[in-house]
Amino acid sequence: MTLLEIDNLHLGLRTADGIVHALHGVTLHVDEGEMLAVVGESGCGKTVTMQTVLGLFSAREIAYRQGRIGFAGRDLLELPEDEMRRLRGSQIAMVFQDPMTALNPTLTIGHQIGEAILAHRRVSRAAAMRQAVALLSQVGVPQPEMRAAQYPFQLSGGLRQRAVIASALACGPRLLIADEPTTALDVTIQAQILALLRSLQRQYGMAIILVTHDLGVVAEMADRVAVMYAGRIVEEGPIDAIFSRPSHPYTWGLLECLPRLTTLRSQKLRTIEGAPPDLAGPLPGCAFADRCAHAMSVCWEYLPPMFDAGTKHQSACWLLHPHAAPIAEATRLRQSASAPDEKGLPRGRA
Amino acid sequence: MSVERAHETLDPPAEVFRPRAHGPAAKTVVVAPGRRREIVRRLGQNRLAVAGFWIIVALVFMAIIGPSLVPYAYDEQNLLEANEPPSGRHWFGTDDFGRDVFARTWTGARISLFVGFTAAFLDLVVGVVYGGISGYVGGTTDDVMMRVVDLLYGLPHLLSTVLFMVVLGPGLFTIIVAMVATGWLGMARLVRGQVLQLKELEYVQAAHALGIPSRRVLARHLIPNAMGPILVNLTLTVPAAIFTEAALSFLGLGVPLPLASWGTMTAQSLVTILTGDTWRLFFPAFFISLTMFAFNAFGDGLRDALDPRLRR
Amino acid sequence: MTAYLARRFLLSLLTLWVIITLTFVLMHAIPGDPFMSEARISPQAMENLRRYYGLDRPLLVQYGRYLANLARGDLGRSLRSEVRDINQIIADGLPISALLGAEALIVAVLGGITLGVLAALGHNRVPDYLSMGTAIVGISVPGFILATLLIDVFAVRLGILPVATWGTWKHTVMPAFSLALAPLAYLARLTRSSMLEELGQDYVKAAVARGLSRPRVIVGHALRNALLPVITVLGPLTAGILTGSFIIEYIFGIPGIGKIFVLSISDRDYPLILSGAVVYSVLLLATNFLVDVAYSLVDPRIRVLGRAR
Repeated sequence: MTLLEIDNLHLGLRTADGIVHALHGVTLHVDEGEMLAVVGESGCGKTVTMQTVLGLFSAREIAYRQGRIGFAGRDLLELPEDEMRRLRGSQIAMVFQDPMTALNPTLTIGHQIGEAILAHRRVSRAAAMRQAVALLSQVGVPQPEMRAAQYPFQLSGGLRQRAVIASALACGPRLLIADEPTTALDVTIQAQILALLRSLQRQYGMAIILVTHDLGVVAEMADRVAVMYAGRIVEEGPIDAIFSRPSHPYTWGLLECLPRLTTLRSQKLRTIEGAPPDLAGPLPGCAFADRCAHAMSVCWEYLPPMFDAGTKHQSACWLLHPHAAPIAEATRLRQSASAPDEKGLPRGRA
Repeated sequence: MSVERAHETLDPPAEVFRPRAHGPAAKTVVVAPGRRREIVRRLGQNRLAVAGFWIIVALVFMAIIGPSLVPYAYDEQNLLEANEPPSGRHWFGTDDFGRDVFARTWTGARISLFVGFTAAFLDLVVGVVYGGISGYVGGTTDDVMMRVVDLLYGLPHLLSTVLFMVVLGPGLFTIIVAMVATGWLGMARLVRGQVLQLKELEYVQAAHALGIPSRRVLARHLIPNAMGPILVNLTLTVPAAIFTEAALSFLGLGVPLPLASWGTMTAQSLVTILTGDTWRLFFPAFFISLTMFAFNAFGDGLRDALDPRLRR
Repeated sequence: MTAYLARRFLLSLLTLWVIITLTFVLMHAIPGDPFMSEARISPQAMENLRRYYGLDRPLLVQYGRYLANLARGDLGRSLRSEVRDINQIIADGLPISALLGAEALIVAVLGGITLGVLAALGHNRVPDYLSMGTAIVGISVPGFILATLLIDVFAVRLGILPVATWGTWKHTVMPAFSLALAPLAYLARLTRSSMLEELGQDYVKAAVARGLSRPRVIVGHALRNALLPVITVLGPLTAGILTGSFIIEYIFGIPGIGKIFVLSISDRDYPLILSGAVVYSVLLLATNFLVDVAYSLVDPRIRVLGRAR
């Protein structure tokens, strides 16, 4: 059952330096109860997409907006503000990247979680506070009553993020958007938070969109992956397909960049040459063409549509067009990365 | 808007599927325009600041040439023409001694602007030296020096200026000295803060590690980068000094006769509210306000332009 | 928190002592003595006067006596006024000045914050331009010049407000407004920039994402935090109002301590000048201390940690 469906979303934002064309036709969907990972480097539009879903941009900031965002049968882009407000926090919730800045420093944790409850349920203050404490305990915060009365600066990074997750869960959302939830945390805490998200997902049966730039995180968590570049989805598919049969040069680049246990000391770390394009200017063809080792003339002239790369697996690359010659490297990659282990993940992944 | 072609109907011909080396514009290197040019550009976009700047220029210009535009000296009395409203002969009218208000206004401008600029500049000198040393030396010296500043800060500027005036007696330079006596505190704090911040910057530590002597570090790295906020503070000190001078005049502690500043002119013309010849009061009062507005607008614009956070 | 406040209190006392000493030194640095201009006094009478005021003793002794007197709350005797006892002079004038100052403060705070919030919410649109335009004019036109303008328009030409002195509430309108305009403008600008800063913070977006209503986010989150820097600035702001009151009271002929202080300067009435400086300093330090207390109650970081951040 499709829960959220973003269809050909175009978005331009006003900034101090003019209009930035942030999204160029983003299309993706999330089904009930599944975890979708959205991967891409900084500035590719992942956060912008998520914030557009929740309608967090003010009318003044938006230069233009086209497309459709379907949720539970309604188009979120056409929804009046008060209905949007009722949806936020209760049906769709968001966990922001940095828990320190996502929490108001002068209000207690309990107050902020309680607020989220009171915004949507008609309960007494005291009942909301009790529920806040219960939520804190659910997300694994020890001594929840004490913590609820404390301020954000009194908690460690991991506890803060748990508190933020607690406030997101307050009304039992059907969709949780976690925008780089572990980027600001230590590696050991990262693992804990991710485990927490997994268990909460099973418990609540909610769908999760996990936005991240870290493929390692994706490998552990996601059911499906969408790879994003310069405001478009360039590849999307089930997790094992993406890791074992990646079909877009950008995805190849991302995967190659990951150091592996088998990487020798003497090998240089691989990078993708170049930098993402400036989103203030027009982009006639594939945005990745300038950095792509396999680029053809067509790549600069025409925008590649989504091609089928397998079951429920798509990639926006002209290499998949019948006219394109098969390339040695692509074949090599596919061959070396195939024969996955029992988890369905490519060899060499920790 | 990016140039989109419809997904479904697309089927490019076979020839364009040949591999192509990267286009000439493969690397979009975003060149950040020189910092100074960027600041000037942002300043230029602020209409209020630009207006302020040109007003200042116009005022200084008029202060220099204004008195020579009319055939009257500022202290030339002509009792036959006393108390005349603005006319073709006396553009700003005359006062009760028959003196031309236009000439007096621009001569007064010289005094007021001189006091304003000089006091602000001296504040800068004392503040930079004190704050610079305190910040750079650091440690206990810094602590002690800043404690002194904190203590002196408790006394309101106008109050201490008045007290100093009472002690030093009337005079153009005593006014300036009295104003600077406690006026430098703000600048000292600012400079010290800047120096402290910059001292911590890695490239300064790197320069030190390379053996570059302290004085060079201070002069070539710290000061130029701290210049921004210091310049803003300087620009905003001028209107404060002009205000203080005017306030002192109202209290009878302004520049002594025969000199006349805008402040003393305004103070002496208070009575015209009741007598009706308010042009005597209007012109100096208007120009004090205009000058303060211009410096405030320009100083504000400068501060916004220097703000590293690009926010409108 | 108490450690923080105790430190601030001690600093205030120290500052007060420095100010007193400084003023004392300044007064006695003036060449000649106050009675020299009194041509009609015989040398003997002059000598008596000097002895009465203790001016014949060595400086250090005078200083000691002054401090001792201050500790007892005795400010000394005025040289020129009809009412000799300075304590009495102050007691007469202080309530008037306090009333005027309080009025101006309330107008400035309420008006300034409101204007600033409106400007921030209507960022880069009409409310913003209007508010900030008013604000920049407000900090540019000195209060005493505004006072003259007001008197001209409302008292002389329109006749709806009294020109000067003190009496009914009508007498307070123009002076309070003249005193309030600059602080109001300053607060408006500060509130606006503080508010804009808070509105751009992540926690505001997060609050919206939780489904809180717009008023709740603006007031309960953004404004709440935006007012913190505004509170810190209340101390110097009150200082500005107090010093502004010198001239405003003088212009309007209001019998407050401001006018008394101004007259004492032109009269060279040293004990009164000294006392005026002391009284003002005490008022200011007390206000600053109260602001510190208020701030420490409001900012949880100080309450819990005993220091800001």
